[in-house]
Amino acid sequence: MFEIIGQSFIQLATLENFLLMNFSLFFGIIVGAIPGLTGMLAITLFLPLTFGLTPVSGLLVLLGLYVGGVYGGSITAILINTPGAPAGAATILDGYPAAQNGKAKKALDMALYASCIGGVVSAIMLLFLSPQIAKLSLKFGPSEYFAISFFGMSIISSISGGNLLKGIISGSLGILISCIGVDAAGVSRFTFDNYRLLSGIPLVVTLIGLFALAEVLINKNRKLDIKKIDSNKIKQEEKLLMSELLESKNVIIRGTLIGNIIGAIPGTGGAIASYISYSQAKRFSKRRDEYGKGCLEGVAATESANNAATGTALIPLLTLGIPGDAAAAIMMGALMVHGMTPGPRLFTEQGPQIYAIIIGFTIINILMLFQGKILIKLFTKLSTISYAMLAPVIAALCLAGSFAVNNTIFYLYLALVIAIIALVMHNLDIPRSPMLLGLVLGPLIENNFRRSMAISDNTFSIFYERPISLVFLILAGISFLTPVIKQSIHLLKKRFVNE
Amino acid sequence: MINRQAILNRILNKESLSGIIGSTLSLYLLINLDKIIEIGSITTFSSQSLPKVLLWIILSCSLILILQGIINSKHIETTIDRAVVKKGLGYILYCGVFYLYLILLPIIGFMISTCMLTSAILINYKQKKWLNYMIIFSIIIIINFLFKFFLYVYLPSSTLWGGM
Repeated sequence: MFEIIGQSFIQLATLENFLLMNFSLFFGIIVGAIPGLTGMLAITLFLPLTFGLTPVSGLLVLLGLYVGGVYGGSITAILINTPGAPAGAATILDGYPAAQNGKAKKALDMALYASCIGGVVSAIMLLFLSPQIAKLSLKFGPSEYFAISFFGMSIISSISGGNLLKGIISGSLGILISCIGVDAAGVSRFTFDNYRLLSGIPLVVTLIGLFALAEVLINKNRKLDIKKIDSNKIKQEEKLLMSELLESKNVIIRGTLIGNIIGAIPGTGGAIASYISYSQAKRFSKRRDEYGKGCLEGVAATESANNAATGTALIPLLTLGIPGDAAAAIMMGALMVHGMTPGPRLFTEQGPQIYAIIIGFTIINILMLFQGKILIKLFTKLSTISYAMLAPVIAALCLAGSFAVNNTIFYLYLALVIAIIALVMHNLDIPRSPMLLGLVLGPLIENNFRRSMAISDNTFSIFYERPISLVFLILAGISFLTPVIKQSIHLLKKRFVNE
Repeated sequence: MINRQAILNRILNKESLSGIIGSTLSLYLLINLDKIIEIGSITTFSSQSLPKVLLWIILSCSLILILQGIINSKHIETTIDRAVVKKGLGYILYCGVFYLYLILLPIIGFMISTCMLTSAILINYKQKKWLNYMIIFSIIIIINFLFKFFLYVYLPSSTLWGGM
């Protein structure tokens, strides 16, 4: 392993990579800080721009945007009571009251240190745990892969946003879209006699339509009221003292642990991790009464957890090929675009590259500390850019990016059609994330199911006679049903209380 | 006599509408599946199998959504007033602008057509400062050069005066 890590350093240690990591992190923080724009959007927009880079450089750019997006969300959460990204939502609880009490600089510093510690630990976990899990999963056959992909799809119930039926429809629609084109048996499906559809719809075009161009259409009537931030006033405030940081060390350690564990569970993510970490920090704190009134410990709890979830969320993706959340699903698409198929073979076949990417991920988290310290004034200013100025840039990048996939205007039409579908889905409260899961996991489910059936002479016994596939199918059932049961109990309780 | 508004309430809520769209789409595809996916022989698991299963899932969920919409509509106040219609028409017009852009793109090229599209977006947000328009036009020029020299992707140029 250490020999491969040595080789990976050669690929990583270039001036180009260093600059790209810094630039992408910078843009990620800005996008994450702008309310309504997430790291996911940044990754989608920049994905076509990475085509000209090597896989390592390209993925470092996307990881910089991913990490920056999560941290950036905390800046506006603290300063204007609006989280830039969902993962920063819990930071509002104590971050904004702290800013109101004249402790904005301390809260921003605390968010930065906690984010950096959480992120670095998470990246180290990713570096050392992933190869071990990958080694185990090398023994997997098609039936295991089918079960794992099916398990990946089961998180639909957690990301359906309250209406499971709509989530299932969205997920099924995603798999149907992934069926477009010529399948493994040489049969053309849903091509409607259009030769351009024979090779299917490229994932990048679908991502651009579903998450980037759709945002421009959805935000047509967006109100442009911007809360102004007095960055000079913040500059004059007191810095975070070392003693204050040390007082929160237990909270940061606990938050980092919670974030690491929650992040590795598919279907969860940084937002859930930060809320759990906050409630646990409050439970064990001596200053319980100060929580919600601008307590810096509260900021440390949420920020350490949401950044700690970023690295471990990539463990199931890199080792098993299961994206833990929508952002990881986009990263999975990005890996595939760069010729790297997520799964256990990634570590054996493309070891130096993947280790270079993981080490780069650790470095990005450290660079975040320097950028946060030096450029915070600039970030606060840029986070208030009007959406009116961003929408045209997003649209132009989407259209140029879709064209760049295969130098054809036909893909621009496809991106627009998908964006219109996403607009309709948004207006009908149908979640888009399950569709993305379907798009990414659909081909894996079908191909592995077909292979399993061929091996077992068309009997289903292969799925329950092999222990690993059986375990994952049971896990899929549990993962699918748990949120449903929880929601039903919650509804019953609510009805009981009302009566 | 049944109140017209009551019937509208039952049909025009998000659950029912999702169900109606989902069931119509899935039924159409299920009926025409043999034409859409032509398979030579029927096997246990053919190229039609997965789409067929998915379409049945969508159809079943859509029908339940329609029922949900009708049952829950008693608690939802749905009014279709001018504002809702205006909003809907606004979205159609906005999408139409993008469609028009795609038609114009091969004729007048990426730079000019994208400048026109982004101007339309800025007008939508009631931007009056000419400087904002200039900033966006400059970014479009940068994007064009970025794709040309960094990715070696030549974005569509005009067929009218060959170049831009």
